[in-house]
Amino acid sequence: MKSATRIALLTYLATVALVIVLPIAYVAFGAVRPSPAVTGTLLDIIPTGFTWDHVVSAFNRAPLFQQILNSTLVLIAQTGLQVLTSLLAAYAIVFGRFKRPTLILGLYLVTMMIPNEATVVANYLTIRSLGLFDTLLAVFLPFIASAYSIFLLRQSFLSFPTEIVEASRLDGVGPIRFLTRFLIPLTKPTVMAVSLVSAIAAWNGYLWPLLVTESPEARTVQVGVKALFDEADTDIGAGLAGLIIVSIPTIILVLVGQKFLARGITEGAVK
Amino acid sequence: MVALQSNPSRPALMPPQGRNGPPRRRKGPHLWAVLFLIPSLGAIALFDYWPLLRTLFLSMQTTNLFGQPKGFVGGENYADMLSDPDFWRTLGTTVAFMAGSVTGKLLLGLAIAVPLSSRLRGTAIFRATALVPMAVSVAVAGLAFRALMTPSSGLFDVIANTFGGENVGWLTSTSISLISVIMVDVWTALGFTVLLLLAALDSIETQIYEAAAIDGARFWRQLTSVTLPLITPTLFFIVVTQSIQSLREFTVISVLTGGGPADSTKTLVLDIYDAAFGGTADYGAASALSIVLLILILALTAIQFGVLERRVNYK
Repeated sequence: MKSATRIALLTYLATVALVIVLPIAYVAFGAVRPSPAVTGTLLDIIPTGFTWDHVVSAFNRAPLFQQILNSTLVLIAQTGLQVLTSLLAAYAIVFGRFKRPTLILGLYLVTMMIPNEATVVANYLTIRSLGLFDTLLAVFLPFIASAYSIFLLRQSFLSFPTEIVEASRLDGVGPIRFLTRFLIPLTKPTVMAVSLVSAIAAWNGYLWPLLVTESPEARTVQVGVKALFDEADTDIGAGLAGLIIVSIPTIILVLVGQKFLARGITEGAVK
Repeated sequence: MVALQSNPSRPALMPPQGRNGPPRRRKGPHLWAVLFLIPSLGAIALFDYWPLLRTLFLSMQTTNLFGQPKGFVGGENYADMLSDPDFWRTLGTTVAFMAGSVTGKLLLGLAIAVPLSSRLRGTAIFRATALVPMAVSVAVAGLAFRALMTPSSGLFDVIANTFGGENVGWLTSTSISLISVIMVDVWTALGFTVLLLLAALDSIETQIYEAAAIDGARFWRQLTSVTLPLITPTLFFIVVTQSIQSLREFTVISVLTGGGPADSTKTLVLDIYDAAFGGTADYGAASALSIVLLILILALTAIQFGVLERRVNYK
C-alpha cells in the first residue's frame, strides 16, 4: 500500500480511537483533577494534576462500600448459579438420552424472545408476593437460568468426541464425575466465555435492581452510582470518581478475558 | 457374526443381543438428566413463562396499588391505550430510536471494522480500543455522556463554543435529545458490533481481494461487491439483535434524560416503567404496553427472518 494511503488510514483510525476513548478518558481525568473537576474548557480532555479528593468524597456521599459488596455477592451468586444450572441443563439435553432433545432446548430458547422488559412488572409483583423486595436475593433470583448460556454450552457439548463418552460410560463413570472430570475441562473455553458474559451482565444490571431494591444499603453499584451522580450535582468530581470506581471490576474482566469474551459473542452469532 | 458365535474358543467382541444377553438398554431418558433440568426449568417457568401469562392476564384487569386484580375489564386497557395520542407518540419515538440506533451501529461499526481488517502494520493497537465501550456498563456510559453533554460546562458545548457555536442543548432541546440518546446507544454497542464485524471480515480469504484487485476493483467497488456481500450473515445478525436491543433499551434513556424533555425521548419501555412505577401503579396499563412491546419484538424477528434471510448469502 502506498505510504500516503497508509498514513491517512492510520490517522483516521487514531482519530476514531480517540473519539471512542474520549468519554472514559474525560471521566477518568475529571475524577482525579484537583477541584474543580470540570473546568469547562478544552483542558478537560487532558489530565491536569492529581488528587484523591473526589474519590474520598464519593465514598463519603454514598454507601459505595456496601454497594460494591452487594454487587460482588450478586455477581458471585448469579454467575455461579447460572453457570451451574446451564451446565446441568446442557449436559442433560445432549447426553440425557431424551427422545426429542431439541424440543427441550426449544423450551429454553423461546424465553430469549420474551424480553425481560415486557415481564418486568409481573416479575416485580412476584418478588413482592414472595416477600423478597429490597433483598439481594431478589436481584439475582430471576437470572439463575440463562437460555443463552445453555445454548452455547450445548453447542460445544455436541462436538464432544463420542468415543470418550462411550469409554467413560463403560468404565462406570457416573454423570456428575463425567461432567466435572471430562466435559468441563475439555470445553473450558466455552465455559469461561459463558461465565464471563454472565459475570459482566450481573455486575452491570440496572433496570431490575432499580425496581426490586429501595434502601441505599440494598442497592447495587449501577443504581447506587446513578443516585450518587444525581445528588452530587454541585460536586461533579464525586460523581465522576464514582463512575470509575464501579467500572474497575468490569475493566479488569474485559482486559483479562477479552479472548473468551470475543468467543462468547461471535459463537452466539455464527452458530 | 455367525462364524464368531460358533467358535467357542473366541469370546464375542460384542455382548450378545436379545433375550439371552444382559437386559436391553432401558429406553427413555436417564433419571439424572431429568433431575438436571429441574433447576433451570423451574427458574424459567417462574420468571419467564409465568410472568408472560400474568402480564397477559393483568392487561385485562384493573388493579389496586398492590397489583392485585380488582376486576376483569376485557380490552378496556387496550382501548384506552390505543385512543391515547401519547401512546402513538411514544410508539413513533420508539421506532425512530430503533431506526437511528441500528443504522448508526451498522455504519459506524463498518467504518471502524473495515479499515481495521486491512491488518495493516500499526493497526493492531486500534483493535483494542473497540473493547473500551464493553468495559463499562451502559449506566456508567450514559452518565459519562451526561457529563459530556452538560449545558455550557460539558465538553460537547465547550467544543461547540470554541468553534463559535451556541450551546447545543444536547439533552435539553426537544429536537436534539433523541439524536443524543441514539449517539450514546451507538457508542455502548460499538464493542459488540466491531468484534462481530471483525470476526466476519477476518474470515474472508485474502485471495478474493487479490483477485478483485487484479480485476481492477478499487476500494469502494471491493467493499460493495466483495466485502459486504460476503459478510451479509453477520450484517443480518447485527440488524436483528440490535433492533430488538434498541426496542428494549431502558438504561441509556433513563440515565440520560429519563424520557424527557417533554417526553421527546420517551420510548415504550420508559412508558411501561412510568405507568407501573411512576407513582400511579397502573399495572393494568403497564401490562397492556408490555404486550405491545412483546408483539413488536416477535413481529420484528419474524419479518426480519422472512424478508432478509432470502437475500443473505449463507456459506
